[in-house]
Amino acid sequence: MSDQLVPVSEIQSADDNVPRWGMAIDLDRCTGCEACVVACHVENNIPIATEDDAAMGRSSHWIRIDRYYEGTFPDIKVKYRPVLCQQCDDAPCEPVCPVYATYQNAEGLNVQVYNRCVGTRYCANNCPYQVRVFNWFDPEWPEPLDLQLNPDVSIRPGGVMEKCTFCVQRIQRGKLDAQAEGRKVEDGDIQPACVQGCPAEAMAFGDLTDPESKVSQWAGVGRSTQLLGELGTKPKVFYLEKSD
Amino acid sequence: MYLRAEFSDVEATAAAVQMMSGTGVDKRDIEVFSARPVAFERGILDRSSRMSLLAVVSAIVVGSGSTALMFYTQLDYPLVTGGMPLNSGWATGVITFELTMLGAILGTVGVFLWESGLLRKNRSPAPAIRDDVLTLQVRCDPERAERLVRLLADSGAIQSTRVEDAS
Amino acid sequence: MTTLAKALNGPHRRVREDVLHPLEGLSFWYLASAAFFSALVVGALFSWGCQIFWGIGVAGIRRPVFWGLYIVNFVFWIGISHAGTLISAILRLTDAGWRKPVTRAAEAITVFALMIGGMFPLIHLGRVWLFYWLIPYPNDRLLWPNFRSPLVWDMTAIFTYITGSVLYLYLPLIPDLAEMASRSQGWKSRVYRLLSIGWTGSDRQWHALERAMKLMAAMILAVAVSVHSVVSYDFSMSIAPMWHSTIFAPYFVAGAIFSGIAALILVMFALRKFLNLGRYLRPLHFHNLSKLLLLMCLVWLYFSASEHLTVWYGNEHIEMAVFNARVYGEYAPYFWLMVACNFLIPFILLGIRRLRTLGAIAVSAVAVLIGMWLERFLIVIPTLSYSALPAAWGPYEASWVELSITAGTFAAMALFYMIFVKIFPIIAIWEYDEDVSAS
Repeated sequence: MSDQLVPVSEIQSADDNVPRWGMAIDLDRCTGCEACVVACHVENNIPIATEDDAAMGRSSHWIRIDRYYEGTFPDIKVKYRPVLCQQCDDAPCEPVCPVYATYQNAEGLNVQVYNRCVGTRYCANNCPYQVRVFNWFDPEWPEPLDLQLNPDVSIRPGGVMEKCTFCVQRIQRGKLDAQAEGRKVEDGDIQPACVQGCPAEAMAFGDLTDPESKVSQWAGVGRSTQLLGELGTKPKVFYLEKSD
Repeated sequence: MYLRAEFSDVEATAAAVQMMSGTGVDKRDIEVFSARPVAFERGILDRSSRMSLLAVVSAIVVGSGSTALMFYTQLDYPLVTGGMPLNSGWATGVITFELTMLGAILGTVGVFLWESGLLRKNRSPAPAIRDDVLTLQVRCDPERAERLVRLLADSGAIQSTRVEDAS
Repeated sequence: MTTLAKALNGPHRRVREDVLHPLEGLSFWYLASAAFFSALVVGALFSWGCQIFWGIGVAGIRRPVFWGLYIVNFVFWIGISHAGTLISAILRLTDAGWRKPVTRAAEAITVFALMIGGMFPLIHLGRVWLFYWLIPYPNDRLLWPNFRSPLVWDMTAIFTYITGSVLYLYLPLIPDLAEMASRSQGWKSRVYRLLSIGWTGSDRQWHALERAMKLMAAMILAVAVSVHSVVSYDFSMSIAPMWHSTIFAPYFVAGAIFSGIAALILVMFALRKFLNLGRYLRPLHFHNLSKLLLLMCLVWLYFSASEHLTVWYGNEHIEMAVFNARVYGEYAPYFWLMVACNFLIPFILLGIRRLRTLGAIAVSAVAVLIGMWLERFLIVIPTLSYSALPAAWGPYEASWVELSITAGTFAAMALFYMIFVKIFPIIAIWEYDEDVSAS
């Protein structure tokens, strides 16, 4: 893994008032419990794959825990790494889409427009993190899970690509709530489901252009790295890990 | 009216064409019909063509038109992808090339259809296609017909006929 | 036969008899094989129907191998399409006299291979019913396609290529269509007359035709080279390991010509055998084409070796995962079979003069087609299977849907060709005539 190629202090938005959302994940705190995966599933109406589909490699998770093993048995050390969409500034998935189903919005989110997607799956091939998941069929939920769908998140039909949105519905809600109360969005107002669900508090989310925000503080420490940053994708997810 | 004469070889046909143009018949009024391309020597029955020029013009028009469309659409609804510039000559150059070539191809075929006369409504009458003879057809005034018939026979026509104008 | 061949002399008469004879009558074996191929095509259409109805998931593609056999076939067929246009254009531009019985057979391959290859991007779409969103047209959503996407480049390139090659096939067909009109009766004559758009054989028309064909040959050559480069850009513009390579464009073009020549040789064998065209498709043609095949075999080896050597020497760990899977790992059997098919077999059979018989040429052509299909497979699948993060690696296994559609496309090629030779003379009569007259 590389060091941080773009210092977090240099991340800027086009406009001063526009935030640039980012995340920092402290791998030294992560226990690999997968609470973030479950929280994400519940929040984002992600279809639940059957056993056979999962065995085939068709499970859908917007965030997954990659496990890497070091050493030989019995002296083995497991490293966990939650991998979600890295919301790259120069996202390789974006320009290859022929219909603009994925593009970079003003707040630095790599957004996915489900209705526009025709399913070429080129974006998924060009994502080095493999965080894009495809709806191979129309989604179904086993009872009674079909009764708990989140009304703030649209259901994606078959043949459409989807991926982590940084819980864009929560970002939207946070901004609207702040506006209704006549104040600015404060750090910590907005929490994606995975961040909220993390029992070890290993994840931080916020505005990278605000040097005081928790995410900027975390991303600025010496342990901070970016996943596959050497590819020049400029990810906005920072991983904090001890260098061995 | 038209005169039609049949020849068995290319040389005789060429001679007939030259004799007729010597007596003041416009070469544009002469046509030679054959079942396969006939190679006359240069200067006998040249047909001027603007095909290459028009193909280039068409290529430039279609190529630059499509490039302009691409630039317009990307400014009309600007969406940033992958940190690329909105109007990127690098990323759209392939399309510019392909549509330039498409313009050239369509231009060539269009000029082919026009210059061959295949698209024109009022065309001169044509003999049935025959593999064994070359048919020379010349448009002339009725008063000159006598003379041209003799001339055609002198240059080796197997037989000649008169064809009245269809219109 | 008597209805078609009017009184004519010598070779001109003979070519008409020989070339027009296959257009008459339908033999039992013709109908039987047409039925067989149609069944395969219907099976493929059924599979595609299933895929549209149930969802793209009935195919075997899965994460991380999002592109499977459909894209393999797409690249393969677009490669085959280089048979015609490229070969016939090169031979036309260099004025190689021996091309004349070969060009139309080659150009027809191009058109059919493009029709088949062009279907695959559609078959592979998750929501094929929305494919028209890739086409730039003014719409109420105010959205245009993303012209920066290699898929849109691809679409434009293939559109230009198919337009160009259909016209390139059609233009020299016009005089023959006029001749067919005068040699047949009733509705057939009317159809041929209509298709010949009023060709009378005047010198103006011949002039325009020959000029147009010269220009078209030059342009189609440029388009053909660009099309396969653009197909390779679908891969090389990405940052996936062993796809992101500058050698891909010329590598794909060379591979396309290689497989195209092999396809042309096979089709010529079939024409020679089933249509009795041995007098026109002579050993000379097969030998000339086999020399071209041998040349392309060496070019292929050169490109392949350059590609693999660079990756191996660079020893970059992400790329080496793909390299190892290809050369030593789970895809190694395919890899070494490909090397045998694309290099060893043709090189030995065609390189040693004593072995270069017609049978050996046919064997080499089949081997090259298999090898080139495998090459496309080895380019598409291992890279996706072994992407940058080892935690996301995963295998691929094609399902019956993909296999049925793949089989159907080969059947479709055969079927299209069988129908074509029943409607149009497969050897350009007037070009052949011209040749005979000149000699």
